[in-house]
Amino acid sequence: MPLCGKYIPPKCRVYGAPYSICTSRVIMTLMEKEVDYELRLLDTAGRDFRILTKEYKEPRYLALQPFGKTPLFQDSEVKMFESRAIIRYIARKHDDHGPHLYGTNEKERTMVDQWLEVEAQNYNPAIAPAVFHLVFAAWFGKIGDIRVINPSLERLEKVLDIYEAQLMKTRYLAGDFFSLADLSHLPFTHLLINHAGKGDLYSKRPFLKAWWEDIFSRPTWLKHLAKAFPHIYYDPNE
Amino acid sequence: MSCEHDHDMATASSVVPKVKLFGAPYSTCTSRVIMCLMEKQVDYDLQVVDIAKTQDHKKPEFLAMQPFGMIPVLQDKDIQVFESRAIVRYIARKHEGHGTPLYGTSEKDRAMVEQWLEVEAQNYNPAIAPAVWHLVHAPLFGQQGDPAIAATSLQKLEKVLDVYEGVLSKSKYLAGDFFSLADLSHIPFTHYLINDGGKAQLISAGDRKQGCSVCNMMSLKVVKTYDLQKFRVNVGDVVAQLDPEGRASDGRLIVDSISRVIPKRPCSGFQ
Repeated sequence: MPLCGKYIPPKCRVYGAPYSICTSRVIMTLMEKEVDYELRLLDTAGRDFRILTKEYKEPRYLALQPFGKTPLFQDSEVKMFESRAIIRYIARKHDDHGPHLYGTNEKERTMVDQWLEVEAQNYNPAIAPAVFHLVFAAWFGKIGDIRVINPSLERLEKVLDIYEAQLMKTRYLAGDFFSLADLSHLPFTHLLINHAGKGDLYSKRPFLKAWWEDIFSRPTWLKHLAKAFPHIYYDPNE
Repeated sequence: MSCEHDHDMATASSVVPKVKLFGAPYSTCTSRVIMCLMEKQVDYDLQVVDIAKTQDHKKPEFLAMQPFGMIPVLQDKDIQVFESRAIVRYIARKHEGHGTPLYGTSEKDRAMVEQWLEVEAQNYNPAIAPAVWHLVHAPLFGQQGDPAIAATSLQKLEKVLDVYEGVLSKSKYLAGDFFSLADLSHIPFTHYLINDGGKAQLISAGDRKQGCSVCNMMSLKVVKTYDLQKFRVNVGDVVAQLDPEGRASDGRLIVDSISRVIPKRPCSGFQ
């Protein structure tokens, strides 16, 4: 028996940083679907001082992602960007194994699309400014602007009330199954609760709290956090 | 309108309920869905939800359907869905076998359509929406538009259009050489900006020849899609034939929402 087997390259490649919100979405989906991937570290925010090159500004990257952002996803068939488009593609392509992140029938799939759009159009614009000013500002040695934080949190509270009402009816957002829609909320919400200390917004709404505790404790998420923030988190399942 | 027949057993006497769309003809998001329904040749009933005068979207009956209080909402038998980009995905998927192939013809096409739909939602829309609101829609809602906000948002839009220019120099449409959901999704806001907001020069400025062809492509698509011959009404006669509520002489509501035929005035809550 040979000592080393034939090298089988991973099926796909992700350009981005594991601690980045949008790249996390893609990595989580790949992990949930148990798809092997290769991560090419690219940090557009300049947070990791070890990465000196600004590869995302080079023409050969811009040829693939003309907006110069991450993540960028490549597999044998496609090269694509925009995290929510990538996760839909992965969920569809690997529908035959792993959790059914896109539902099992047309009605469920439509609900997943609906709540993914809700996340993109209603949740994200409300939570992003708060997280930028409460969490990211500190990472880059700045102070957050309270005139941005407070209105953003007020807007988020209104959205959370609606989520609470929905989660009284269904276990997860798109139905009684964990889907891309729930997954998409993980990165920003984790930072708001665990890094910005705004957990009370969620814990005072019982159904929302239950939902959050459920999705946060998914083994793939805990594993991802341990890899993305090795100096802060460890994987309790290891 | 309910129906007791099982739709799987199509009999001569069974009546298929039409798709119901709750929205407003002057709303960009409702237009997105209407365009998709027309491209896919799907019959629908528009239930007007007046967000200007009677504020129907804040009433409990509507909030029960759409808890965020926003239009449009689509009802198709047992499926009820909101968020216009989710609705158009649903329609394109359900009616994949006929009408314009809005999702392309291969998995790769489909991935590109999803990608450019997200680009529209995340990059194009946030840049263009404030401009359209402040330049076009604010007066419709009895408010004063702020030209400074419009100007800032248009500056952001210019950067996005530069990227689009690069992409459209390599392919005929955004997701490839076929008209798709992604291109369709851009039409409502762009149409308002160019035609009602008077910002055509953004698209045809300088070297943006491809951009101009996008605009032309969109206009052509508009003309083709809104072929009023389908409604057996001549374009030239429409204005004369419309009554104050926007209905043609045969009672059909002309929901050519992104055409200049319906003058810019608040809908008076008909229905």
